[in-house]
Amino acid sequence: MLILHKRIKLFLLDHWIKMAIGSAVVLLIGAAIYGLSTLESFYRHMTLATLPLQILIVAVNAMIFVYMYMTVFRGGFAKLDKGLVKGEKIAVSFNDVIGIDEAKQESWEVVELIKDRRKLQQIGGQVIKGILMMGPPGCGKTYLAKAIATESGIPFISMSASEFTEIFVGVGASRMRKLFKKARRLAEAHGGCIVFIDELDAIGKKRGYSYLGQGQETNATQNQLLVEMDGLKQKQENVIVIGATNAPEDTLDEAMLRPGRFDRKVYIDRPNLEGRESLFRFYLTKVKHDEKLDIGRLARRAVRKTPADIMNIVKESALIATRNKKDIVSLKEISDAMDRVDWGIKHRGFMTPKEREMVAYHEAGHGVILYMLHPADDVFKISIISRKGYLGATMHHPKEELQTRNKDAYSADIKTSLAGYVAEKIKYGTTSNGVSGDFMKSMQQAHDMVWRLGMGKSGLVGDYSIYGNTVNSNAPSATQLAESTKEKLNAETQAIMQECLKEVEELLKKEWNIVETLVKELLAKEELDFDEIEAIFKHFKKNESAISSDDTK
Amino acid sequence: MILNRAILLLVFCIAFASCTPTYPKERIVESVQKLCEKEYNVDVEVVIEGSTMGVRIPLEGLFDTETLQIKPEAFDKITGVMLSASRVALSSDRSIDFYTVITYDPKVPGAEVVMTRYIFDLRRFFLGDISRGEFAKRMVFDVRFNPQAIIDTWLGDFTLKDQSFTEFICEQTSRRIQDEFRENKDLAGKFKVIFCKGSLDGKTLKFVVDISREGLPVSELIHGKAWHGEILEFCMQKICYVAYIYSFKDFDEIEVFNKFDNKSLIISKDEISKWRNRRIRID
Repeated sequence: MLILHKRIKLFLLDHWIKMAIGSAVVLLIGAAIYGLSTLESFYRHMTLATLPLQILIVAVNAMIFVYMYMTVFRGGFAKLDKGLVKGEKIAVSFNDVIGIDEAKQESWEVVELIKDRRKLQQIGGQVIKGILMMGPPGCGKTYLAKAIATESGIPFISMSASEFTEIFVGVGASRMRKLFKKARRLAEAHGGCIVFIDELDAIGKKRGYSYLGQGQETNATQNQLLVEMDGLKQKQENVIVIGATNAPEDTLDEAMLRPGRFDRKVYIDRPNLEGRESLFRFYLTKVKHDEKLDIGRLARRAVRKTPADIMNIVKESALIATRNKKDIVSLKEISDAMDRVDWGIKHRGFMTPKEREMVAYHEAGHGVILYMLHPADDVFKISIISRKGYLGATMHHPKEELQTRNKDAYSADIKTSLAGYVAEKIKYGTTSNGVSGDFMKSMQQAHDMVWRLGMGKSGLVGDYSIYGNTVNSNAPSATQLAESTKEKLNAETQAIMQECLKEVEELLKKEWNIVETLVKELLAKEELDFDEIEAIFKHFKKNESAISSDDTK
Repeated sequence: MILNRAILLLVFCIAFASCTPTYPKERIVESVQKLCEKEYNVDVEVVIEGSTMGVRIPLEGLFDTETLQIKPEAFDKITGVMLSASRVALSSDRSIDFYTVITYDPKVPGAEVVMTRYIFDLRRFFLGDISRGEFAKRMVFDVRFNPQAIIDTWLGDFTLKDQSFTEFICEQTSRRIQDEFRENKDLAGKFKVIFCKGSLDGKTLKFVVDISREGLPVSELIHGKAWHGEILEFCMQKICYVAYIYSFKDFDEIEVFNKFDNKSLIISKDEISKWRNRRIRID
């Protein structure tokens, strides 16, 4: 009863202007109708006949006024035009959130805490004030926030942090005050309110102080947010702030992250294999697809893909199927869609037959070494169609989600990178500038192995890259590293490169038949998928790296 | 949904209400009489003949005996009656094209003040399509002696002739010509208008005028060429203008004949627009 009374009171307070205007309009219309009915029929006709013109004139005047008002006054700088979104109207349930089960579990706890806040308060616990959702873009932070709003059934106000920032200092803080004032009123009437601030890093980065006044507006806005979340107030309302950001936690201001403000952090990472399977299953239900599609295989191929990526892949595959005049989406379309998402659109630039052949040998070299030596990656596609400035590509993905990489994986990466160079050299006795990217990548990895990861044979252990590191102010200077140590490390790096090169040369010469077959197929088809690549290797009775590594040793 | 239906119902009600005439044709005479009595305390006789509504007002002391002009208070009453007649004519389902308000003094039988209006002019005026000055010029105003009125007064009868559109056009044009010669600062005092009357003679819209130049010697009056043409041309301009503003095309030619010098000017319907646009000259 009390809540109802409060809601009616709030409704009247919120809508008294609308109600007054509505009543006045009704009265005026009533008076106009009465006046019209008392007129003689000619004058009545005349009034009604001229009414459309008068309405048009009034509408034009109103438009001019609104235009002038918007351009001259802009409705007031601190105007906050944020409407309330009712939780039930968002209609995103937790069942709709797929592929991020851990984050979902943590968020569900939050929902339960919001729902059982009275019980919690009776025990003496403190209601959660803020939840910070962090993680890479496209992983469903906003979606999860919507699900929290739906499930908790309390009002939800959504804003982007960039909406607070203005050129004038104080405007953002003013908007923040208005936002929280509104949220508190709603919380009073409905027992709680969620304020969702997307892209929080726009106002949440570490505060800096400049004599030139740079960042004052952001600082002021952030200060106001801090005060609103855990400041001195007469009455504590149940306002829960959910912030979402892609920025790393350590770039955010410490004051925001302390308990009492964003005291719960939910890390929403890219989905795991199981999550990706669920996502593919979910999004594929929205398009007509081949029932025999191996969802597990798709999920394995989509390592490190976000839910947004997976949605995009399925959407793209439907578009490709439509363009190819197909009724259903098959593996081919999904594979093409993945390529498009990963590598961009194909554009067949002009290449001479000689160049094309050289590219084919280069890519075939990568493909053979990747297939036979790499312990962690699968070769999914070899292509001699140019994309994103590359004349060809050997596409590989991790076989499984490994969080660490060992020495073998690094070595295999280096060997795979060098394989293109070796293949060109074996075939033509010379090499092209197509190896520059491969060298850069392999050199970087060899360097890291030796300089940073202690994977060299010399016995030198430690991260030597900290010498002269300009980011870390406590780092030793570059001059403190002995020249002899540098020489040793560089020699070690080159030794790894040479060792890998030798191994690749031996293997490619030994398996040159496979290289030639791959080149022949590539020149004929331009692209080879995993199945076709695997068929060639099986034809030569070669299996993937796990077994073939014995072959090379 | 409910609101939409309510608005629709309201619109229907307003539209329906606006269709109902305030003064139904069966009660049109009583309506004018009641209005005049209620609003201006004047008893009037009302007759409808064809598409013309006539309103007759007996007003004692209509004319000022010294100046022979209509007294201002009498003029106010006439204006009020005209307004009442306008209201009824406009808001009735009876098709009325003209209304004529005839005012007479019972003590001076036969002398009448006649004012006639075209209803379409009224509508256009209310819709702002014509100016107040033009609206005033479109009223046919005449002070005349009518022997029939004496008979009617004796018999207590009111005889009304149905006004035709051609007659209205001719009378209005005659009135405009006379007014112009009297009020136009370039013409006033220089010409003497004795007579001006128009009619549709077969397919010729014929205007007979008797206009001469004042203050000139007799020889100049007879032999002077310039002003003869001026009069005819001026009259022709007025006739063409009135025919144009009413889109009156029920004629083949227009003739203006000046009885004073037996001179006439004739223009065919096809030549009117050319002449008005100064593309041809009259010799």
